[in-house]
Amino acid sequence: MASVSKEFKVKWGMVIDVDKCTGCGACMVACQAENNIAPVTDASDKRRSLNWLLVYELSNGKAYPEHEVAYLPRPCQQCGSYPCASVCPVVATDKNEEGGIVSQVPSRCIGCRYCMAACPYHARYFNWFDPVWPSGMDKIITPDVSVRPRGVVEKCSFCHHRFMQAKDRARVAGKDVYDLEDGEYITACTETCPNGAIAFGDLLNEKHRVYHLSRSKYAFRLLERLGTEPQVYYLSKREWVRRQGDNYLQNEPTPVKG
Amino acid sequence: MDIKRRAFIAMAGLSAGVSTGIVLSPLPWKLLDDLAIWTQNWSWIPTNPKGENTYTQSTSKICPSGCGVRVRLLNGRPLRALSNHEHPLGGGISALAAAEPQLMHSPARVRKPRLRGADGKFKDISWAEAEALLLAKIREAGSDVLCLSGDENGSSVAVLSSFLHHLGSRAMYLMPSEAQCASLAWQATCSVPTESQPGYDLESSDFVLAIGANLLESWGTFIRNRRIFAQKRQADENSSFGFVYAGPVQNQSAAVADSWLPLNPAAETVLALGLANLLVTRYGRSVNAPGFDAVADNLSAFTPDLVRELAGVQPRALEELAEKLASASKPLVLCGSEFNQGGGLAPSLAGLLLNLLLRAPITAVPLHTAALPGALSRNEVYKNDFLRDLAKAGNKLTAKLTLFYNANPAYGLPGAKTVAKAIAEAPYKVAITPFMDETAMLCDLVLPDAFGLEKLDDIESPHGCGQVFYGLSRPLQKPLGESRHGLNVLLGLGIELGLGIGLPTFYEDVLKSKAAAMNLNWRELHNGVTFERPFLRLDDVSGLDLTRYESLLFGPARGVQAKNMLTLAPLVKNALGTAQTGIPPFSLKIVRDDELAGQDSFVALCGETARHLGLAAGSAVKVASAQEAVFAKVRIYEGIAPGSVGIYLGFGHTALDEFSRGKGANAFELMIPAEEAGSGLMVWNKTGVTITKA
Repeated sequence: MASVSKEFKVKWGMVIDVDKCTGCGACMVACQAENNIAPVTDASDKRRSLNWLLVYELSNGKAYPEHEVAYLPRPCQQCGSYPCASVCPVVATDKNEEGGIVSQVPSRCIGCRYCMAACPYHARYFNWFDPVWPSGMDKIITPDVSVRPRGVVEKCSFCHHRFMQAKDRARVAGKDVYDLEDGEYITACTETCPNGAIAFGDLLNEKHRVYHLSRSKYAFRLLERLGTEPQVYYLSKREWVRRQGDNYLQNEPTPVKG
Repeated sequence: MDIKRRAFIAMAGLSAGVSTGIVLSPLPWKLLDDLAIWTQNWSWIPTNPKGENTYTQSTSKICPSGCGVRVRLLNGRPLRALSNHEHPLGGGISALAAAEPQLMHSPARVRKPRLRGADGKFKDISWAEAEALLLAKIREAGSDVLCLSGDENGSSVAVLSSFLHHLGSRAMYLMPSEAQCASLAWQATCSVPTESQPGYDLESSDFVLAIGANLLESWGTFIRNRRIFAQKRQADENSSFGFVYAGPVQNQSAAVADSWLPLNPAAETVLALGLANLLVTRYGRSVNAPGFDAVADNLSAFTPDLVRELAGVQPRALEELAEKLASASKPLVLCGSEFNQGGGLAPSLAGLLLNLLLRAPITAVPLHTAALPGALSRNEVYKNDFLRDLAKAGNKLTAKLTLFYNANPAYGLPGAKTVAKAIAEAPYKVAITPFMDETAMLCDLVLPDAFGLEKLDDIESPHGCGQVFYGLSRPLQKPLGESRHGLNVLLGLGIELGLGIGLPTFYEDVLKSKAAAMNLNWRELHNGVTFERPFLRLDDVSGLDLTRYESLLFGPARGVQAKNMLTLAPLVKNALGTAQTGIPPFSLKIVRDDELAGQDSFVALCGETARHLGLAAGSAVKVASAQEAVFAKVRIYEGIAPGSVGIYLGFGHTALDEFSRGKGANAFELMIPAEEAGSGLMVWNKTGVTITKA
């Protein structure tokens, strides 16, 4: 499934500690508000609602009282080897900017939805309808992210506008825009999480926390064996959680790093 | 027409040249690009605003945790509520607080004063008409006025109770909460020089046992709790910090706890007393206070076998937990209702007893009441139980004038339909509310209140915080429509009524006086700076006295019976809003499709219970209590004790906007309040239900 892989000097990535996530959904609210996603009245119907970030509930599959539960937030995985961009006929999605964020350009998108079919993470959403804000609520649309009309695909951009703002600040300060300090650029969900479950930074920069977290023996990525090289890592000390990150055979051991 | 070969070649060459020229020029690509953009540039698609960004600080008044927010403003208008890591109660932001700027524009907002006509329909009226009408009604009612408020952390309690005092009434009530139970338990246990409430020094604790209390989602200052949890877990990957959650449902706190101890619903007190018994008998713990000997005698009945029978906890698990508590250097127990209300005094007292035995970092947090004539402190108001008095009056509101301030009892009190009927039949009722909620729909006069970041208000030491906290929620935007600050309206009416000396003209004056009395710099507060003051250790608290535990704690504890029926286990999700706000439009997407499907909400059963009842996932069922019945679908969730029926609070609104209305069932309708032995408080944490296929 994987297509060509691109390497960058800076690779923005996320490390989500599943053992700290309580599934409160504050990250989803922040994401929606930050990225101008219109609210829908039947939002529990996941075929209708657009979720750049979606929190899944995981179960260890055991009956009471052996049951365990965990919550897994799923943004776009910003794959290093991107199945979505390789199938886009109009280059509406690509991965060619330093930082390794998979772009999504709504004005180029022709709505063919090949990318949605190609994405193994279901991280892409199609605007079946025009966005409608209740009367007066459009006043809280932010200046940062264009509102998308019906007929185009959208997805998490790692709050790309925040990356641009961080670079602008660095330029003004006379700093190297590709050597941002840890925390100078973070996504809205990272900023919001009260549990500190989401860490964000440059996966290739030793000075960033995610560099070390992503190398933890408890780190795993979703469907890693597809070779998509996601830039989103997850952490869990619970083996059953790590096993749900990929399709393991019943007796196949869960790989352990280090 | 005759085309010669030469002419044909010339034309073909010209065409090819023109085509090549066009293809090589930027023109077609630019036009194509413009066309692509134009096709998405419809007039009905909102465009991005432009302007100057500024940031300021505030404290969320709508989130029960009182979390701090950093507000992003565009051209001076609030745009986003962001987390405020500098705030004593911040460090992240709750789902509800994050949705606050959007919620201010909710379609459910009341924009003008509304009067119910003879035909039962509302019509908009002017403020002058509304004030004149209310003035006349107040004069007519004399001292027969009752007020129920939904704001327990602000100075509104003092203003409203002072207003009533001037009218000659003491019928001031607050919507029931966990804070009320904790405060009354505290007052029954110790006396301190000033008004105070229990504080929980989570920061210094190395082992936390939450019994019932959903520490990380809804209990107390839960955003601060989560920040502390994150810090303790982050400090060291192999952190020795321990956290155990005991409750009937594997909820948000249980999901990240070291372990979950399943418990029967409403068995918090029994588990706490079982642990206390082991601490006394096996670990020699005691409390140096009058009445402890009787407490120890009573505790001896709560053997591990009794705890297994009543709470469903195995003796081995109980003993291990007692050992963990006894061996921790700073253990802390948080005991309360799993849905933050309706548990009565006993769970809070049992938790307090455990903390006293463990010498836990419990503090006394002094409270301050605005100096207004006849103003009641919130501790004094907690003694008034709205539900108890309603039941005593035969479920009738008999006051000539009932005032609801930011409260929605018609939705958010147990036996909601009975409460709604009482409100509907009350002689005259007025709602001061930002939202056209279920209670407002039943009122005769609805006054639009400013909301959230439109309104100056204060937040003092919300339940659960470890230190004195005082912060301001700041007015950053003009109130929507013709909304006004409800308390300023009342204070203005006070002057019109000639209610005597002492009532200020504006609510801001009340807050300024209070800040001055607390030796706080108003200017600094007004800039959004919040304040924390060192707390009083429990060692400094005088008059520790356990003599009342015999009746208040052991009376109800002995009344707990073994579980032999299906019991409701209400679940709380901060994102689903409060009874007053309903579900914020921006939070609705958090609801999963196995929590709400179209108009149907779900009840959670474990597989064993479902099999026993002959039900499967998705089965349509009727859930009935002795009070009421609701319809729902079945969700199989193994993180719930057999015989327990999980049901989310927050659904089933019949008013508000399309984001809240007509979505699922209101669990409050099923609950039946009953008087707790000893305290006389109303409790509704053990509702027996039946489930049948619909």
